[in-house]
This record gives sequence, structure tokens and C-alpha cells, in this order.
Amino acid sequence: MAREQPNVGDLLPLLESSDIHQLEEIKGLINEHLSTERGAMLLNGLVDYFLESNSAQAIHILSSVREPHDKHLLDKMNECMTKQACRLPTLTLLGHVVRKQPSWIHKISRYPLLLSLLKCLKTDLDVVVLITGVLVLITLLPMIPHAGKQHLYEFFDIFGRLASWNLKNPGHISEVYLIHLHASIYSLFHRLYGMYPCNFVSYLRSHYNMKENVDTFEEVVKPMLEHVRIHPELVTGTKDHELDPTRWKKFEIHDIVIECAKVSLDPKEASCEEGYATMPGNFYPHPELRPQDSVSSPYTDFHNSYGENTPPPLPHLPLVDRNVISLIGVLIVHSPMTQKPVPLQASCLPFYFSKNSPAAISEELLKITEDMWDLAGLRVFDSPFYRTTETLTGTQEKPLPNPPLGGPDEVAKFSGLFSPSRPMKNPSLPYEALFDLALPRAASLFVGRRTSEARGRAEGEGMVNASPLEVLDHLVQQGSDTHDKVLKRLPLPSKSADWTHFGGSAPLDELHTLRSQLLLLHSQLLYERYKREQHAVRNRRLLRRVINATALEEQNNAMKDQLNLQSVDVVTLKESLQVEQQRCRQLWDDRETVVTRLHSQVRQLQQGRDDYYTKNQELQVDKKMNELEADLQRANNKVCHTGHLLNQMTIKLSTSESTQQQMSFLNKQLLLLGEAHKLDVLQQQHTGSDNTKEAQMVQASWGKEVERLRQSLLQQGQKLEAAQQRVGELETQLTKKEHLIVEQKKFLEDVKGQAKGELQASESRYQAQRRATQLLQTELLHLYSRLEMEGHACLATPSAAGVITLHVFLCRYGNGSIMEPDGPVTLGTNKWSDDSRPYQSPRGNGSTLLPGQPKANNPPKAPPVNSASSTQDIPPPLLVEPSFSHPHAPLATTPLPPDAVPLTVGSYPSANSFLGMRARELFRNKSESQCDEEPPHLAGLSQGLKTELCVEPLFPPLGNALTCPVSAPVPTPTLVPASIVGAPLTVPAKEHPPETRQRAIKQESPTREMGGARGGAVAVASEAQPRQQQQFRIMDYNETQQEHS
Amino acid sequence: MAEDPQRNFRSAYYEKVGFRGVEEKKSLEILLKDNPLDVEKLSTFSQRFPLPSMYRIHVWKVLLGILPPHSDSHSLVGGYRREQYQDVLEALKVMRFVHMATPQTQVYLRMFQLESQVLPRRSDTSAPDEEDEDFLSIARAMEEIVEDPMDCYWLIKNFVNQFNNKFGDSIPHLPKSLEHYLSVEEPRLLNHLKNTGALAMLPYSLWFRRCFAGCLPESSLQRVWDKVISGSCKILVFVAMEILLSYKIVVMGTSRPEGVVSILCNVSDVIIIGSAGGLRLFSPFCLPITLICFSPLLPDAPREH
Repeated sequence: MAREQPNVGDLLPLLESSDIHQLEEIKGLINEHLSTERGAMLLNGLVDYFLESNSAQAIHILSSVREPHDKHLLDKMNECMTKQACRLPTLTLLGHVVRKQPSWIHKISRYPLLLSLLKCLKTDLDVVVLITGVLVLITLLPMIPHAGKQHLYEFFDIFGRLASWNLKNPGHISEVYLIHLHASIYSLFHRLYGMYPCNFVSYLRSHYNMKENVDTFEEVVKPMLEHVRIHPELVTGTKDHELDPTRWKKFEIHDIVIECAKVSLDPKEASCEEGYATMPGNFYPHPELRPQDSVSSPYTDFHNSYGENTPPPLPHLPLVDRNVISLIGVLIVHSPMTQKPVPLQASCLPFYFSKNSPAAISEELLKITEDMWDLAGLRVFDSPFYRTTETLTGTQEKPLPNPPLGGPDEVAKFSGLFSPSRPMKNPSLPYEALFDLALPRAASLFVGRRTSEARGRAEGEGMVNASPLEVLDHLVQQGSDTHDKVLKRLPLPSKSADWTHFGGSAPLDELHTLRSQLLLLHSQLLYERYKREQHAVRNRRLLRRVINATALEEQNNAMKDQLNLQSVDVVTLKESLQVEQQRCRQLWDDRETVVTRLHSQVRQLQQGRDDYYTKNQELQVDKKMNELEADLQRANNKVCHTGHLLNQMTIKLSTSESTQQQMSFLNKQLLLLGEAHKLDVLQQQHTGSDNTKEAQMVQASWGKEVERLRQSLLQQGQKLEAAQQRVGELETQLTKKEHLIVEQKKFLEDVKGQAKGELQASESRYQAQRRATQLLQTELLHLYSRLEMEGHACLATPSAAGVITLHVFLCRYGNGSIMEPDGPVTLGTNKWSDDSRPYQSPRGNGSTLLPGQPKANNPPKAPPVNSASSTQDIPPPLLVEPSFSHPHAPLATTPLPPDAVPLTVGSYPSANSFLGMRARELFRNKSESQCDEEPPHLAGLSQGLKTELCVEPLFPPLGNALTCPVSAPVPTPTLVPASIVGAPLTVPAKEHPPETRQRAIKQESPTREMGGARGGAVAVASEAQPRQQQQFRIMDYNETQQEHS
Repeated sequence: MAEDPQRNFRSAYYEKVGFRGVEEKKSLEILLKDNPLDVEKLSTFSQRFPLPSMYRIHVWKVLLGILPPHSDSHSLVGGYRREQYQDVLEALKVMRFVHMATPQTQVYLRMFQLESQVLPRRSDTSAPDEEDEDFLSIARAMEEIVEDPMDCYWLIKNFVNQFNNKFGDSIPHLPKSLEHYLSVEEPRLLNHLKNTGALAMLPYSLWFRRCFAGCLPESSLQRVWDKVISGSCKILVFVAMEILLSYKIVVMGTSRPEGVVSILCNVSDVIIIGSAGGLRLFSPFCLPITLICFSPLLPDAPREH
């Protein structure tokens, strides 16, 4: 550490290095060291170095010193303040530090540095130091507002001292300084008035009430007061309240600055804020006060480029002039307005001389300025402060065209060679025009020499209003303008030679003045820059506030909208609440009604219950009464009963008494009888022998009787046994019979089913037969009708012809294959049908159905038969004869005599009728089959009944009874003989002469022939009559019957 | 059945191996041995299993009522039937409705007409109407199946009568039923038929009025008729549907309704094989064997007691 210390101290000169990297390294090193080291050594070294070299880097480092070093720095500076020589640089350094606004700056009020500063300002005589100090103080005041409580009167004293400076020390300092001083006092005035108006005003009142200070007030303070408005605090505040530290708590530094600016009416002092002052834009001084302190400033590039774009006249200047140009260039570069100097002047000058004749004044002014510029130009040219300027402005001028001339050395040479003695004679001359503006009295003196008439008016109207800052502006402005003109007028090349030739150095005093002037300018500039920064800070704050405010406003709007929505909600909710309340009320009412109704019901029920209770009690009482009555009755009963019993008992008693009497009587009798018995026994013993014999005989007879009875019992038992056996047998027989009956029934069912099937078959067959027959009948009728028509047609013709025609007709009608012999067949049948009619009545009983049957069968067809037969009543005999004569008659009817026919018919009485035939057929089927199958049936039955039954004697009649009903209903009146006898049935057939049989055979053969061979050529009885057919069938049947049997 | 000592103990395995007919024949013989034949059982059997051809005519006769259940009266009733047949035939011959040259089916028709009293007058012989045509086609088919003309006539007559009596009411509903089953089985085909208009033109009378007579070959027809005679007309619907399904590809390929009808009218290459519980239908266009399973499922099949 000890080793490093000198190293760091040695490094300090390297801060001036032109190598950026090295510079950065060194700065980093120093900063690092400062952050680690708590000692004051390095800091003191730095301050010393700064005081020595006035290094910008050192200022930079010192102004950004951190917390623990502040004490050392302030102590060091305090120490330095004590030395007269170091005072100015120290104040400069302090100004830099204060403007940097480190966080610890508020502590300065506790350190002696502030006291020493105030003391310096109160005591020091150097104007430059004073101005610098005042500017520092002005800057510092808003940072330590609370310090005013202790040092307030010191501030006021300083103000009073400096305000009266010029009047107290006239001629001691140059006017240039006065202007600067005045501007700084003006600022101090503003600051004090802005911060502590009551105290300040009271101070002013008390201070300038004194006689000796009236002049100062008139000269200095009063014009300043004209530039401020009444502070609001003067109305509301008090002295104590002003000094209250709590008042400043809510203010930031820039707030205080702006507060001070607000009360100002001067646009130069106050910034244009909130419409307090209107400022002509082209006079705004701030663009001229661009920062120029640091290399790293963002404006550097701008200046560099600007410098290169310097207006064309400048490059043409001779080398010698470059120094001046460079100086002026500083101003030119920073104020673009100065490129048009004349309008600028014109715009500011009428300010003063508006009432004068413009021409004269302008002319005069022109002259003055020319002179002034002459001097200024001379003075400026040889001024050696270029170097200072350069050091102050840093590398600012480097881009300007002076580098070819060389570095600072050359300038020094110039300054060495240059010694302007002339300007010293009238040093105040260049400032005269400005001076009267800054100091009205001096100005009036100066102006009054030439324009005495205009003086008063100018003083009254224009000059009073001029702000000290404007004056300062004018000072700078005019300086540059004059310099410009001088430059233009001078034949520079020649003059430059002269200047260099003059040699010598400029007077030291002049040099010093210029240098300090420059310093003042610089410090003023820095102060203004500080103000600008404050404004920037404020702007940023305000902007943020504006943003916040707008955000809040929007939030507010949103909240309002929400509020509206919610109010709408609230309204709806209220409505619904009302609805709900109504409903609730309604429900409540309903409930009330229900409750009341229920209450009434409850009451009714209670009443009912009470009634029931009372009734119940009554009933219980009744019941009790009843019970009691019943008890009473019972008791009565008991009493009665006991009474009755008593009666009985008395009766019994009486009877028992009587019986006792009887008993005693009987005992007596018994005794008597016993005696009598004894007597009797005795008597009997005498008579006993006779009785034994009789008894023996009786016994013997009795024994015999017993024997006999026993035998008969035995007999009876045997009989019973036999009878029981018999009963058992009979029972088994009975069960067997029952079984048999069941079986028989089953069998009967079976047979029934079978018979039903067969019956159905035969039924269907019969139906078929019937249909066929019907068809044949219809056919026959058809033919008849035709024949009849034919007959009608031939009624007139002879009968023979009729026969022939019929024959022909038949031949024609048939297939053509009908032979002749067929005709007689039909005739024969016709005859037969006619013949059968006469025998209808004798046929008798069996044929009752015959006449009716055809009618019943098909009534519509019957009449034609009759009609046909009736109509043919006459023709038949005619027809018969040819048939008889016919040799080929195949039928047996021809040979048979008419009487033979009844025989045949008679044997089959019902042969002609369908029904009869059918019935017969049916019955015959049954009966015959029964007859035929009786032996097997019986056998089957006997088999079914087992052999036991047959043995039984009871069975035969039963069997008869069983069979009889079967056979009994079967025979019909016509069939009975046939079924019973069996033989008579065949008898007629047998009795029939062979012709019958023959006929039957013959009849059969053609049919067989027809069915089998289907011989088309064979003559077929196409018009075969149904009856004949039936007859055939019957005979055929008989035949088959016979064959069967 | 399995407990029956008369039956072969292998009977349980026959079915497993695939011989179906053996057991059925046995059981049918047992059924036929009963003296009063149980017609209900016979019809159930006939619905369940295909009839052996040697018993077919006999069973048909019993089922159609030509022969009574009592076998004792068979000969007698047979005689009656014969006589009736001969009588009717004779009458027709006498009336010259038929002659030697008359075709047998025509003779049957005349006989049937005579028995049902609708025989037209000989003079006004008109062309046979629709019903007569149905009868004739059934008769033609039956004639091929049955040898004896008398049996043939009786079978035809009773078959036609029974069919008309039993199913006369339900026949008009069969096309609807076919449509329904078709929509369940093959809606695409149904749509195709509907779209082409062939649905209305399908040979319904051939299928449902003639019972496929003249449509299916004789052996197949026998099996179908087994079921019809035993009392099921639904079989007609199923067979029709199977025919449709078998010829689906061809039918789908044809858009003209006439073409569809002509295809469906000529399906003589379809073979129906009876099997336990149904019929199987083989066709050249339908490789997978379709099984017509109907007997236990059919609503009109008589329940076994």
C-alpha cells in the first residue's frame, strides 16, 4: 500500500496523456484505488494536481468522488480556500463538484467549507473570485435550502456587499467584470428572492432604508426588483415559515430552481415555463452555451463537424489572423446567429433608440463599434489568452484551421511577440455601449456626452427594462461583431507581419484581465448549463408525471366506466331485490294464511278432541255404571242362586231326613227280612232235593242248545268267508270289466275314426258320383231338349220318320262313330223308364222316396223329366215297337216279360233312388261287414276280454247287449230281411234267371271294355240314363257281393 | 329316440360323420308302423327332414288325406278312391269330355273340374284360364313324380285343394314377405330390382301359385313340396329368395326387367338338397352353399306336441 501510494501519485501527470487507452487505464486505476483506499492521500494529491495543472481529467475524477471521500475533499478544499492563491481554482473545483450534484452534497452545510466560502464572499476583494463564488453559491443554494436558517443573513450580507461593490469601489475593476458581477448578483437576487422572499424583502427594507445604501438601491437593486413579480409567499408566508426545513422537503432541487424562476419576469433569467414570460426566440441565449467541458461530450462531434463547415470567409484569413479567428470562432461556432451580424444589431439596437432619429444613431453607433472593434481587434490579436481558451475548451478548436500554425507553443510565441499597448489607453471603450445598459448611470453619463436629448427618454423607457443577462449577451455579441469588422477592414496579411514584428509580450495586467474574463465567461457558461440541466431534469420529471397523470386519467375513465356498469348492475340487482322482496312478502303472506288456517284447524281439532274426551269420559262412566249394574245383577243372581240353593238344600234336608227315616225303616225291614231269610233257608234246606233234578235237566238241555248254536255259528262263519271270497272275486271281475269297458271305448273310438275315414272316402266318392251323375243328367237334359226340339220339328211327320230322324240326329250329334245298335239301347231304356212308372204304386213301401228323390235332388231338373215323359206319353209306344222288333237288343229287358220287371225291381225296392241306394250301400257296408266280419270281431273281442270273461255265466247276456245295439239299428226296413237271413239277399240274384246274370255280365263287359281298352270304335251308350246306370251299378254290386260270399 | 332299443346304437354317430338319411328313414318307418298313423307327427317329420323317396308317395297320401290314418282301412279306402277315379273318368269319357288322345293332365283337369263342379259345357270350351294353367303345371310336375295315374290324380287334386284352402289367404302376402326378407338379407339386390322395375315383374305366380312346378327340377321340387304338403308355405318365400340370391350376380348385371324374369324363370340348374332342419340350395352361380333353414323358425309350422 505504501509502495503503491507514490505510484498512484506519480500516475497523476499521466492524466494529460493523449493516448485514450492509457488515459482510461489510469482513470480506472485511480478510481479503483479510491474505492479501496479510505485515506485522504490520493484525494489530496488529486486536488493538488488539479490546482497545479487545472486538469480536466482531475476535475472529472474529483467531481465524481464517492461517499467516504467527501469529507476529505471538502476538508481539502476548505484548506485550500484559506490560501489566497488557490482560492479561484478551488472555487472552480467546488463549482464543478456542486454542479455534479453528488449524493452527499447536502452535507456541505455541516462542513466548514460553506463557512469559508461565505467568509470568502464577504471578505474577498478579487472580483473574479467573487463572481465564481457567487455562482457556486447560487448553484448550491437550492441544494441546501435548510441551511438558510443558519446562514440566511450571511447570504443577504453577501448580496448587500456585492450589490454595493461597484459603488463602493468605483474604478477598481474593469467594466467587464462589473457586467459579470452584476449578472451574477442578479441571479443571486433571484435565487434569494425566490427562496426566502419574506426574509429577503425584510432584509432589503431594513438594509436599504439606511441613507448610505439608498444609492445602491437606486442603482442596482431597484432595477432588479423590476424584473420580479410579487412572490406569493409575501402574501401568505412568514419569516419563520420560510425557514422551516419541512417546507423544502417536498421540493427537489430543480423544483426550487423553477420556483425561483417563476417569480422572475426576465426571460433571460427565468426559463420560459407556464407562460410567465414570452421570449423572442432569436435571442435565446442557451444555444450559445453548449457544453464544452468534456471530450466525451456528445456535442463534440457536432462541433468538430461544424468547425469544418465554417463559413467560406474564414479559410481565406491569413495565418496570423488565425489566432483571432480561433477565438472568435469559439463564439461563431456556438452561435449560428452571428453569421448575420447586422440584422442582429438592428434587432437589438432599436431597443434603445427607437425614439431617436434612426439614421444618426445608427451612424454614430456604427462609428462607435468600428472604433471599438478597432481596439478590440488590436487587443484581441495580441491577446495571449488563446492558450487559456484552448485549455479551457479542450480539443474543441482542433478541427479549426489553426493546426497548420502549430500548437500552443506557437501561440505563446505570438503572445510573446505581441504587445498591444494602445488599447490600454481606453480600456473601457469597447464596452461603453454595453456598459450603459448594465449600469444605467454610467451609461447615461456616457451617452449623455453625445446625445443629451435622447438620454432621458432612453433611460426612462428602454434601458430600465434591460436585464443584466441581456447586457452580458450584448457584451459577448458586440465583442464578436466588432472583432469581425476589424478583421474585415484590416489588410490582414500586412498587419500580421507587423504584429509579429512588434514583438514583446502583452501587458500582464491585460492578460490577466482577459484570462479572468474568460474564466468568468466559462463559469457563467457552466452556471447556465447547470440551469439547463436542471430544466432537463425537471422536464423529465414533468414528462413522467404527465405520463402518470394520463395513465391515471385513463384508469379513472376505466373506473368510471366500471362504476357505470356496476351502477347498472346495482340497479338491476335492486330491481331483482324488489322482486324477490315482493315474492318473499307474498310467500310470507301465504304462509301467514296457511298458519292461520292451520291454527284454526288445530283449534277445531282440539275442540273435537275435547268433545271426544268428554264423550269418552261419559262413556267410561256409562261403562262403569254398566259394569256396576252387571256386578249388581251378578250379585243379585248370586243371591237368587244361593236362595235357590238354600231352598234346594232345605228340600234335600227334608228328603234326607225322610230317607233317614226310610232307612231306619228299611233297616228294620232288613232285619226282619234277614230273619225271614234265615227262616226261609231253613225251610229250603228241607225242600232242596227236588230242585236238583230239574236243574240238571235244564242244564243238559241248555248244554245241547249251546252245542247246536255253536255249530250253527261255525256254519255261518264259513258261509261268511265264502261270501267274502265271492265278493272279492266279483270285485276283481268288476275292475276287469271296467278296464275292458275302457278298452272297448278306446277301441270304439278307434273304430269310429276308422269308420269316419272310410265314410269320408265313400262320401267323397259319393260326391264324385253325384257330380258325375249331375253332369250326366245335365247332359241328358241337354240332349233331351235337343231331341224334343227335333221331335217338335218332326211332329207332323210319321213316327217312323221320327225314329229315323232321331237316329240320324244321334248319329250326327255323336262323334260319328255311334253305330246303329246304339239307338235301340236308348229306346229300350226309354221304354224301361216308361215301364217303371206303372209299377210305381205296387212297389210300395220301399220306394216312397223314389218319386220325391229326383225332385229333391235337383228340383229344377225334375220338371223337365216329367214334362219330357208327359210329352212323350204318346210317342213311347210308337218307339217301343221298333225296339222290340230290333234283333240286336242287348239288354235283358227285351226278352223279359213286363211282369218280370217288377220282380227285379221288387227285389231291390230302393234301387232307383240315389239316397236309398246310398243308404243301402252304407248300411250294407256296415251290416254286411259286420255280418261278414262278425266272427273275427267276436274273436277279437273274446281275445280282448281274455278267456276268463267267456267262462263267466253273466257275460253272454252282456255280450248280447253289447252286440245288439250295434246290429239293431243297422237294419233298415228294407234291409232287415237281407241282413238277418243273409240268404234272401242272394236269393233274388240267384233266383234271377240266367238272363239277369247274363245281362249283368253283358252290361259289365262293355264298361270294362271301355275302361280298359278305351276302344273308340266300340259303341258306347253315350246317352246312358242315370237310372240305368244305377241299375247297372246295383247289379254289378250284387254280383260282386255274390262273388264275395 | 335314442332310447329306442330297435334303433342302431351307432345312430348317435351318424350325424357326426355326415350321414343324415339313415336315421331319418328308420324313424319314419317307426312312425309308419303305428296303426292309427299320427298325422301330426308325420307332418312334423316331413318338415324337419327330407322324406325318403320310397315312402314319399305314401306319406303324401296320408298327409293329404287320400289315405285315412288307419292302415286297416287303407285297402278299402284305396278301393273307394280307385272306384271314384274310375267312375269320374268313365263319366267324362261317356260325356266325351276326354278321349283316347286327350293328354293325361288335361284329363286330370277335367276330372278336377267335374269334382269341383266347374266343368264347362262341352259346347263352350274356352281356353284354360290362369287357375287351370296352374293346375296343369302342377299336374305335369306331379305326373313326373308319380307313376300310377289314379294316385297321381288324387295327389294333384288333394294337393291343389289343400294348398288353396290352407294358404289361399296368405299367398297374396308372400311377395311382400319376400321383399322384407330380401331387404334384410341383400338390400342392394332389392334396390336393384326396385330400380329396374323388375320387382313387380318377378314370376310370383310361378313361384307361389304353382309352387315352383315347372321351375325346379323334379328332385328339388319333391323336397320343396314335402314342406308345402306338410303345411308350410313360407318355404316358397325362402326358396324364391335363395334363387334370387343365387342368381344375384347375373340379376345385378341385367337392367331390363324382362331379362331378369327370363333368368329367374329358367333356374333348372338349381339343386336343392334336403338336410336336417332345412334345405340346401346349390346353384352354379353361388359357390357357397346356402342353407334354407326354416322348419323350427317358421311361424306357420305346426308345433310338435
